[in-house]
Amino acid sequence: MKKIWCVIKREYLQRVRSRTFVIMTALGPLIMIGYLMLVISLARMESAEVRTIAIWNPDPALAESFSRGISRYSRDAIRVKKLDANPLASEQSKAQLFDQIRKEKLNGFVYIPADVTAEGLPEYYSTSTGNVVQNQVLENALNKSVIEIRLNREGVASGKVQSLLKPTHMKTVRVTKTGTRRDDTQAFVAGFAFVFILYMVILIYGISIMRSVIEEKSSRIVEVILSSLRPIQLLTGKLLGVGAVALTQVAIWVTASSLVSLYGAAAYASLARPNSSFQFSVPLPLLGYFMLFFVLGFFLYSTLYAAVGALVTSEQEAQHYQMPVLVSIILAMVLVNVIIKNPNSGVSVALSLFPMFSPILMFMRIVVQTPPIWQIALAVASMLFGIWIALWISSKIYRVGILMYGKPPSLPEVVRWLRYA
Amino acid sequence: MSSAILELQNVRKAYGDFVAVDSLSLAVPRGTIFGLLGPNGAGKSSTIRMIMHITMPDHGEILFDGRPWNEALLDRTGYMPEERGLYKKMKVTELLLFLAEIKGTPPRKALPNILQWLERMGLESWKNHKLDQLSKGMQQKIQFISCVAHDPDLLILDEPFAGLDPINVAELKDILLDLKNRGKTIILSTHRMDQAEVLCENICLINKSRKVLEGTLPQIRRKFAQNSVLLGAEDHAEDYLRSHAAILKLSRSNGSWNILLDPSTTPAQFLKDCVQHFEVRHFEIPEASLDEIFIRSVQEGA
Repeated sequence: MKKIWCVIKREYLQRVRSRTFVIMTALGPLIMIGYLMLVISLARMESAEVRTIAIWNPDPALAESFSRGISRYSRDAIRVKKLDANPLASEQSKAQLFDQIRKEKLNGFVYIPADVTAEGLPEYYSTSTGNVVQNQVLENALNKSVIEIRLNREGVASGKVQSLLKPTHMKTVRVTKTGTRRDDTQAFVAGFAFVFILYMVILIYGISIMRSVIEEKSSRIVEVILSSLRPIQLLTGKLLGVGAVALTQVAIWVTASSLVSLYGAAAYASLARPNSSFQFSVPLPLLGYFMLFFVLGFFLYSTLYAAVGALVTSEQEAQHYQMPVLVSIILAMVLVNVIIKNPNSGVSVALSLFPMFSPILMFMRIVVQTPPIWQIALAVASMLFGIWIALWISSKIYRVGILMYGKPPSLPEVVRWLRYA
Repeated sequence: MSSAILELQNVRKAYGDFVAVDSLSLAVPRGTIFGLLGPNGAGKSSTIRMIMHITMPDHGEILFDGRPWNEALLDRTGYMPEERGLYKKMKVTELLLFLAEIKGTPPRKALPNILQWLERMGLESWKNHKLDQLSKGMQQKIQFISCVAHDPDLLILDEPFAGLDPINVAELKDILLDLKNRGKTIILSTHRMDQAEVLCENICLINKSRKVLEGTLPQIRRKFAQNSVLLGAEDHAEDYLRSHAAILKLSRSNGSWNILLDPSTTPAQFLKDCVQHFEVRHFEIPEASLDEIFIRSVQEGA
């Protein structure tokens, strides 16, 4: 036990003091902040860039209302140029219009047919039809104008139209088993961020354990160490030591990213919805679940990665041998979609109870919709069982593989190790 | 307590179909330097790995102080494997403290030892450097310190002189003899016979996974000593020598005769005969060198 403690201490101190750890720990949140600032400033830049869109409509009232709508929705980011004649009417003027768009003298053109209030379908021409935000602005403005015209025709006074058309927003509130309510979107955003951190850290530290096993093998220090302690002691010490490093880093990141999210939420609020009070807070139970699933997921995957490290002599060989482990965790991330769509379906429940997927999928289910407590308990039990199996396999592979050099073993050979080691 | 600190009884180790060590028995007397000799691939390293409990023998027993091996005994041994290895990114003192600690020696006890050894090896100014900043020779010295920093009773060194320059070889020899004088037991695995000859009291020669020879150096020499003499005399002695009935082989080199005698006579009897017939300037019973013994045993076995 004392020897395991020595290994834990060495792994922890060596890693925490290393330059990579300091840089990664500092850079992690910085990258997050940088990314957030980039997104926000890009959004601002885009809205600052004035674009010109030409519109044509036989009804000047509609054209006027539409152009006002565009200005309001886009916050004057889109300038409107009203055309007197329909350029689509003749092939020649159509070609001229398209030429202007191609030369970027014009960013787009909206054609509104005379019968738009009835069956007529408006058309939008642009080089950047993929700009969803802009399309949405145009469509919303046009919709509003058309409805306004229709209401006018029905005899509703123009002054009243605005108040009639005032949109309403919905606040989503989640009802949980314990009866507490919380804002779903916020929890979801935070939850998804956590799932992603979970995935990243499990993967990064799993690979890091594999590397350190390979390094001990290739630097031949392992034989010196094994003259003092048992392979299982080295493996356990390594897993616990690196696990402690990962926990340290995650704790720093979670704290930092909470602060970043706070800033991000504030920035987002000021940009998009000045009136909404978007507050960011991570529910405490979620944080607890995160830590639980992180620890279990880490041990499950790191144990397997240690076995992969013991099998091979170089990182190139490891590329090939780590595939089964890597695929499992990537698959778990891919299956997150299934969980989000229908978190309580039979498939979701089954997937989230499979030990290799549990760390990601059961946690995702907790984020989306609190599953019955017995399912969470079952997932934890299944992961503990998975860890036990992984430890059993790894300790055998590790014991034999760690002193094995040269060509890595084939699958039948590995099976033989498991039977006889 | 038995006089042997370490005993192997009928130990066998096979890797698949390949038998690395076969029915090997040997006893290492306490407070001596024991040479485990053999050509490359003879099974020396496999034997040492079993002694160090890194691998388990398929059958047979390994006794330490007359008791079966247990893990606590690992702390009383120091091991330098043939393939050297250290954590290259660690600082010298940190690494040595770690390696001593996993041998059950707490840092406060190990540190004075480590500093003393670093000083003796002339490395005290490097103690805060990372290992990858040290030359290969220095790293080898650090590796040696890592075997002795926890003050073990039994030291197992696999090819300790490999890669050392003559000055360091001489220094290490001094240190080993010094450790022996302090009551430590050292098992030395090597294929350099000249070094084994100088250092070892007992040797065990293995070849092709089996023991070929075991015993003290004088015993082994006697066993391999042939009835041969080296004789220095004037040229005219040749006529007498040619006529002597007990001489099987006669050859002359550097003004001396190499003579192989018949088992029916002894060198002393032969000397008496000679003195009566001519003036003997030089008479010697040469000892077989370990090198010769090694080559002869290995070739006989093959």
